[in-house]
Amino acid sequence: MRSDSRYVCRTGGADRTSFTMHGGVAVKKNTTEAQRGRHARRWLRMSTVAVASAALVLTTALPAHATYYSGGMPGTTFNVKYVGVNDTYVHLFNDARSRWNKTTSTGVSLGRSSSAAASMTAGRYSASWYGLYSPSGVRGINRAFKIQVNARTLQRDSGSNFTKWIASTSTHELGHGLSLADNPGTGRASLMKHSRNRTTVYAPQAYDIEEVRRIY
Amino acid sequence: MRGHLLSLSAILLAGSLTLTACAAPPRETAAKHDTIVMKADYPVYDGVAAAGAGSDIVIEGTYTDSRVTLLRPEQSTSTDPHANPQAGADDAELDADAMAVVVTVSKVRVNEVVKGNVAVGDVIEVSQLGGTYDGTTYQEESTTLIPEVDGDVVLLLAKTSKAGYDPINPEQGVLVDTGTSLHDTFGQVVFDHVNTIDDLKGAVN
Repeated sequence: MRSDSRYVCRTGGADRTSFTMHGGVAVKKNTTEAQRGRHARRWLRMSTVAVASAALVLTTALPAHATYYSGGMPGTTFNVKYVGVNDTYVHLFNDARSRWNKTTSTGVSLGRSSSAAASMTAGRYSASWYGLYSPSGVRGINRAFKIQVNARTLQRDSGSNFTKWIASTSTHELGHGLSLADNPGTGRASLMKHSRNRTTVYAPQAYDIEEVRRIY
Repeated sequence: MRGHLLSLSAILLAGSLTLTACAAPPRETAAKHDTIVMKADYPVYDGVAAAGAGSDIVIEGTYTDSRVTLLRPEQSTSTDPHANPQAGADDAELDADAMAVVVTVSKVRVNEVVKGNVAVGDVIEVSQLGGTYDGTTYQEESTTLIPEVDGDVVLLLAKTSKAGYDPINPEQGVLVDTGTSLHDTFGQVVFDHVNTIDDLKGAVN
């Protein structure tokens, strides 16, 4: 599992190498002018490396990405159970998992298990939302989630594309389980945008897939 | 010696930056166990005219009272398996409470009607995701509950039941009227060129 490793691995090797190389430099007393010149050049090189390393750390390792959502699961492999839905929704939820499982080089494997802590359900809720993702527990310890799909409002707004809108909502909510936030600040197409066309955008888009790779 | 100290300082500085930047993403603490932050997917409207068309009523009102309750799925008799996810489902699995969501229902007295079949002086009920229930606080990320809004509110609402409504969405459905501007609960302008109730009336009717 690669969870959280990005915060260590992106810079750790380079930093360790740099500081091991330079950490043993000794500066002798009573040095000659030439020696002092060499020491000054060494110090300049070391300072440059240190500053460059620090800049590299700051620009690549900070987890301040607008698309990261801490309410997601700690890894890309987890199970969900379906609660209180008919076979039609079982197939719809299976398809939603499958859309994520088909993504390449993400490590995503979303299974179905009746004993899973995470759950998906659907119902007719008297509310304007289409879907809801509610995390519980602590990430990395006992994180679970509940996904609720609102058939009532999806039916109201989807016209003849009801099934595609259910698909778009179900797959979107599973995206939260993969730590994707809503409305990423990108001009590219994303399943996680509220403004997406739910008739055509019901699968993870290239941007979403790249983000899952980046996060995990 | 000075060189040693400088070298050591540079290493410590870079090392501390590395440790700071390489720290794992912030973990939720046990204390946050009692707060669940939800994310809702909802319709968004392309401009004020569309938002108005998507609203059954648009009003300015004053909050008077609220309660927290569970919103359970409707008991539908439809046999359409898409429209009714419980049609044909195993009854043993059906647990309306387990499928419920926590909502805050606010009473709002209508001061001004912009659109819809409601009158000044009416008290309407507006449901929003979130609230504290059984010791757990539920928050929807984009939602500001009406009781938390300072001052009167302008609401773009969809009808959800005989006497109940909910905002068309958390961002465009709950506005604050300062007298000179209409903005969302985070202070952001939502609709271009709509600064007053009169502007809103002109745009949605």
